[in-house]
Amino acid sequence: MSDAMLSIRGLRVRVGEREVLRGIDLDVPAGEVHAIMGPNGSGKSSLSHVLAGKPGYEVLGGSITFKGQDLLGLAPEVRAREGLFLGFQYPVEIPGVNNAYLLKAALNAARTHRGLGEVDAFEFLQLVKAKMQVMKMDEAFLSRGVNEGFSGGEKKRNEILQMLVLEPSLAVLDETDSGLDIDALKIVSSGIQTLRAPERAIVLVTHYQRLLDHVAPDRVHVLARGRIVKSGGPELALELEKRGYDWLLENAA
Amino acid sequence: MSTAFKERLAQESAAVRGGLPDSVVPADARDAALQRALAAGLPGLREEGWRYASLRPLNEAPLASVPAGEESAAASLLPEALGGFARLVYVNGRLARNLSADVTSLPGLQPRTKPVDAEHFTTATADERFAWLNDAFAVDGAQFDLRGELQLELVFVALAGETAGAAHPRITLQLAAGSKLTLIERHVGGTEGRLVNALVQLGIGRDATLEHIRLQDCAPGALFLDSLLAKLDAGSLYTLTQLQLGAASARSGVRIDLDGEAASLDLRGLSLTDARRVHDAAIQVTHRGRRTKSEQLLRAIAKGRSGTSFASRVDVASTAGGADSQQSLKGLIVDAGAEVNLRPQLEISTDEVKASHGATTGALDANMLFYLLSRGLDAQTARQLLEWAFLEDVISRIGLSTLRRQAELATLSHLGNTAAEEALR
Repeated sequence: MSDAMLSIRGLRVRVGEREVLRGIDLDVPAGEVHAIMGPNGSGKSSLSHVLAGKPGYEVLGGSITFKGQDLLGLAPEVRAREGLFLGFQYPVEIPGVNNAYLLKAALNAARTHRGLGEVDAFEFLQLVKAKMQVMKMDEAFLSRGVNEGFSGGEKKRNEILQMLVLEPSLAVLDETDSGLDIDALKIVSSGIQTLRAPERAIVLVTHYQRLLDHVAPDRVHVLARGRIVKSGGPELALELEKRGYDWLLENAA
Repeated sequence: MSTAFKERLAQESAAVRGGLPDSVVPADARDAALQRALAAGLPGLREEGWRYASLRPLNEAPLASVPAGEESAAASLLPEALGGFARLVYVNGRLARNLSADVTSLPGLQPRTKPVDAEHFTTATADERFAWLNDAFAVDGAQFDLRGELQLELVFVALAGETAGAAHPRITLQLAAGSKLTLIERHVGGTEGRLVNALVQLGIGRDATLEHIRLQDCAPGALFLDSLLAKLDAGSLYTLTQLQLGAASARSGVRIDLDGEAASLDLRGLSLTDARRVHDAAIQVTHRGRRTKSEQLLRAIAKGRSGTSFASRVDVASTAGGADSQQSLKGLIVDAGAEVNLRPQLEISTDEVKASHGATTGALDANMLFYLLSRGLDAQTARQLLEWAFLEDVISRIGLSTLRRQAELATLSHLGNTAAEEALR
């Protein structure tokens, strides 16, 4: 067993009749940013969902260790409180539940779990407003429904805001860059950068190189047909940008 | 079964007939209503409009009005008063003067002695048969003409006194042209084996505005029936928010006629059931005037082994060119044993019309639920927040903040929802 923040061994996962992950091995140590790249349908989002505990994914074999614990044995809400954060590719709109309430409930759930006291309304507002400045978000947003009527870019910014408030040990960001214009990409990237820290690991799941121009990864892994077919340094992402994925797929069958 | 009911109806009516005031319902109208009620009897199980109603308690429940109750006993059931509203309290269908504002002091309000548009409302189809029972047995009522502007709260309290009998709350209101009324109608109290049978008749004059908020929060054993009949003249606006929260069995029959040109209806309804309680609402909206508009938003949450039904039919007559009708019905089934039946219906007899309708029933959205869990919220909190989110657009429409707060708390208490209560704080 490694002392990585996240350690995945031989992970095989099925959705319905289809085996979407066919033996994943991956270590992400604290302090590092890893990018997981790959073509559409390679299993990137499935891996993110399995890490967060989304129902509908059947684990056929293998293990996931998070901070030394068996992650697969934990309910989704416990994973979150333990410090795992999933940034959704498609954040859900929940009209009727306001952003401020969700942020505060999420923060207090994690704090209570860790034996810390709940934050009071004043502390909470101070904290959130500071983080909202980083994300260049308007304060009016706090009283709106969760992601209600947000543009694609606003939803992604909101995901990063939640992450900044919750300060997770492990952030898994599922195609956070998709659907962002240049300006939004810069804001989102700088939000992610502020969270880089020796005690924290970040996994960027992405199809394209462009997010990695702003958030330089320590390691890059290519996922194809449910397996990691190649791992390397940041230069691998640049090579993929030039050559595409096809040359790797030939070996992945 | 229906024969026994008819016999009892005839007997009970004969016993009280002489003592019923003409000023509430004229004797000939009472007779006509009784005859119609006798001819119709109880709805049969096979009658389409009544398939989901639970009327079994009617086989036993007395029909004639219970004698006046102790006003002091009603006082404890009254909700906190709302600023700016004149309150009238009716105990077992009778005005309780000690608990009420002085009617003669209210500006623009005149007692009304004749029914609203008698001809219009006596054409009631058999789906309003309980309106006839109210005609036959009502002992008092809030019956007024309004000219001007008013904020009025009517609280109907059904007391579980020792003497058996029914309560027949009654509202008859005619709004003169250009008048403006905010009307809060509350029903509380009631007990097992007793009938509360309300009748509301509304005439909304030319360019008049009526904002009507109805809260039914009777005791969990009560049997609650109500019939609401409204007629809208040209340019009038009727906004109706109807919250069905209480009673073991509640049936709401609503008929709204958009007669005048550009008359407009905005109806939002919410029904909450749990245990083995049953709610059923049958809504009929008819567009007759040109450029009339109706919008309906109906939401039901069913828990335990309870059941809720919304049947909402919109007819657009050949005279109603340019009409616009929208219906949105949604049901949330919380437990596997619960049931929600939604039946939107649209009948159009003109070409020039804009209409849409939709109905969906199901469990909580799995993606929303997972999203909240993934942020660390526990499953119960997440579920409660989503239940609240499901019905929030009905209650949020109540503009008066004190009333909205009361409605929120009553709703959350029925849902056993502590998470949303905290979220709203």
